[in-house]
Amino acid sequence: MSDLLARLIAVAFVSGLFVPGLAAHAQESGYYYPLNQRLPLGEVARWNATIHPGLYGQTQPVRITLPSTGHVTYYDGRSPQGVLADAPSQAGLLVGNVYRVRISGMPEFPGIELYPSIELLDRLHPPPGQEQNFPVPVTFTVEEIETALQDRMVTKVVYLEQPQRAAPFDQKDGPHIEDVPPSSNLLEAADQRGRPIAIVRLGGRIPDANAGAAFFGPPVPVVFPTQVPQPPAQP
Amino acid sequence: MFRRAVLTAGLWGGSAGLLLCTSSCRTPTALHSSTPSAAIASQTDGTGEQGQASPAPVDETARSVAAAAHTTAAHTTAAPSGTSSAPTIQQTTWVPPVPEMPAAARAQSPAGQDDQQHQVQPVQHQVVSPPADNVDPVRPIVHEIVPRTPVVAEVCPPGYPGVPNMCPPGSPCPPSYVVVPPGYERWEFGDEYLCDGGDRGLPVHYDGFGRRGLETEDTIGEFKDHLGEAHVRPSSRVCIYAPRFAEVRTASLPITDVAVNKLAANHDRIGPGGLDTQLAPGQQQQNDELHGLEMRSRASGVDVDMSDSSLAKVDRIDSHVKLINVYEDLSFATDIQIDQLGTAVIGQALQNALAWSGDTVTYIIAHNFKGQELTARFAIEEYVGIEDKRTPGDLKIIKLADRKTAKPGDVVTFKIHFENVGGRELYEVRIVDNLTPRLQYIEGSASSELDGRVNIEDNGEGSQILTFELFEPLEGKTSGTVTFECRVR
Repeated sequence: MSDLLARLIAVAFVSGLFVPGLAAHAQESGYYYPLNQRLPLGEVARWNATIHPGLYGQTQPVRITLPSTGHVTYYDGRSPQGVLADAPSQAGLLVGNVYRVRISGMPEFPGIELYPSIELLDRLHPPPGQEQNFPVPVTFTVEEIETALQDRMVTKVVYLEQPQRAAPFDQKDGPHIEDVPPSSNLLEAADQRGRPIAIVRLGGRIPDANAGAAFFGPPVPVVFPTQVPQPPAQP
Repeated sequence: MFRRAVLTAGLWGGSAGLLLCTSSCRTPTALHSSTPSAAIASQTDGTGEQGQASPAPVDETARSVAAAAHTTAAHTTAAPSGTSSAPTIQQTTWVPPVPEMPAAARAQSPAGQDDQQHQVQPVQHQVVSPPADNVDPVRPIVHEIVPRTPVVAEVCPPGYPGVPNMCPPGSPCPPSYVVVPPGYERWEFGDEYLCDGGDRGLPVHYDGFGRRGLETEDTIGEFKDHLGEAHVRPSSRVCIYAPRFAEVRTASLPITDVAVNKLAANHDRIGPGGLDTQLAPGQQQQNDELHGLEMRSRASGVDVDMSDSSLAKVDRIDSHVKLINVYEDLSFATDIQIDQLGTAVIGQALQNALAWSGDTVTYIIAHNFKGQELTARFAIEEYVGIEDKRTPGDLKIIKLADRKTAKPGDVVTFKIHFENVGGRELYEVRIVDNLTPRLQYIEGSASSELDGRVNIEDNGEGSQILTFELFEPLEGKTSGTVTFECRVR
């Protein structure tokens, strides 16, 4: 037991997690969770990709849905203006990276542009040819956008439900959303309910005119469905 | 996920350290998140939104590739630089560094070979025997390396628009994650499938209170054989790829406040306020002398012999032996059975007169005794029976679904095919299906080839338990099918 604890501490030291502000809070599950949603962008994804070799760089389709309609702009470094797409939009993102997209053109919020970030932690393993039929849903509801416009930040962890522990409810209006207190560790809560897939952060921050492309971070490729052969519908 | 991740990090401590060292050594910017600015930013909830996005490993890999290519180019140009001082840039092929590979995976991806082919030639090690006349020549030992399925191809990210190829040309993959032994990529994919059937967890069994161990997803068949004994048989398990997502959410107020906690020029001095205290050692010496007292002691010349009074006392333990013998007690308590056998006895007495007198006649005394108990034994002289050579009945259940994949809202049709693989009849056959919480039974969709009925009850976990009961016994070598539909939640 002491050997295992020593290894964990050693791994945490090497990974640079023992810095001020990163200490784990009181755990609800009794397990030690060194990661939480308050870490800097990309830290959780990098940690997960380090633990699971072969995970980093895999393409995972992600479907971004707005309250009704609108536009989603992806920034992959090819052009400063990004790639504009209609919502709901589906694109392939690389696991282990952080993407910052722009959502705009929402009829419920005219003239409003928000720049949420999507940190992709894990991926699915569908049957061959069915990758595009099972994207990771990233939804932005009206109340979340209103919360962001009130200068508050909405943080969500999208997780894959454990089938035996799944809530016996229908999903007609999108994924089931559960609100937890801000002091909670979302990754821990998601891990208790299933497998965390992505961290979505939505705030009211807009790009600084003097910051340039640094606001969007390093460019990461985006694979659009038009570049991927569409499989036939699977009955 | 992260519980397993932490555990994996612990169990693979050595390898994880190697991976971390590999990534950190190759990409020095991988651990830049522990800078003081990032730590301060993490105190607020708006870190992720306001902080800079950390450099991604894609960029690090590209940088490492570029650095390695630059190093390779420098080495290649160093050789001809002996003749010419002006450095010339030559385009060379980048050769990735050979990473540390597990022993199990060393044979599958030799560095420098084409990953597409991956044909490992058998390596022959020949042992040359020393020349000797009386020793047979040693046959060469051939070690063949069995080529294994290359796995680097499936973990190598393909090229993307804007980034033509993340892998250097000709090399299998970026070295940081090129080595993935088979079966070690991921192992927890079961949460993406919606399964039903089988008997997971505690096996279904019966105790004095009824049926136990029927969890969700379980599908079993119950029956009684020709001897009246109850049996349970699980069905096959069918899985549909139907991942479902959910979210945990929180909203916080980002605070970009800078709080400086320090002493605001407050000098607090506490010192002795002019209080002088002298504490001298209070040494006090007092000499007391005896005056005019003389005392002389000498031996008085009286010898006193103190000797032992020759009193000897001997304490001896008396030897006391007490023998307690167990008196022999013989007690017989037996069941006393008194068997009285009375048979019909005819007593005859004949007495002759010793002295014949005139009026003395001979007389007869007879006694009649009846039997009190009559015991009879019947032996079977002949046994006539009919031997049934049919095999005992048994149930085989196969569960099928009409879809391989499903999304929430789709309707899946399940078929449960059961067959009596034995020869004798099966009685009270029931097919029980405890649906998983993500399946909603569609009312009225159940049907059966054989006559029976279906009972639907709540399983307490948001789904239902379907029980198909057959009215008639299931004959040997016969089968049936029940069909029902469920909606995927």
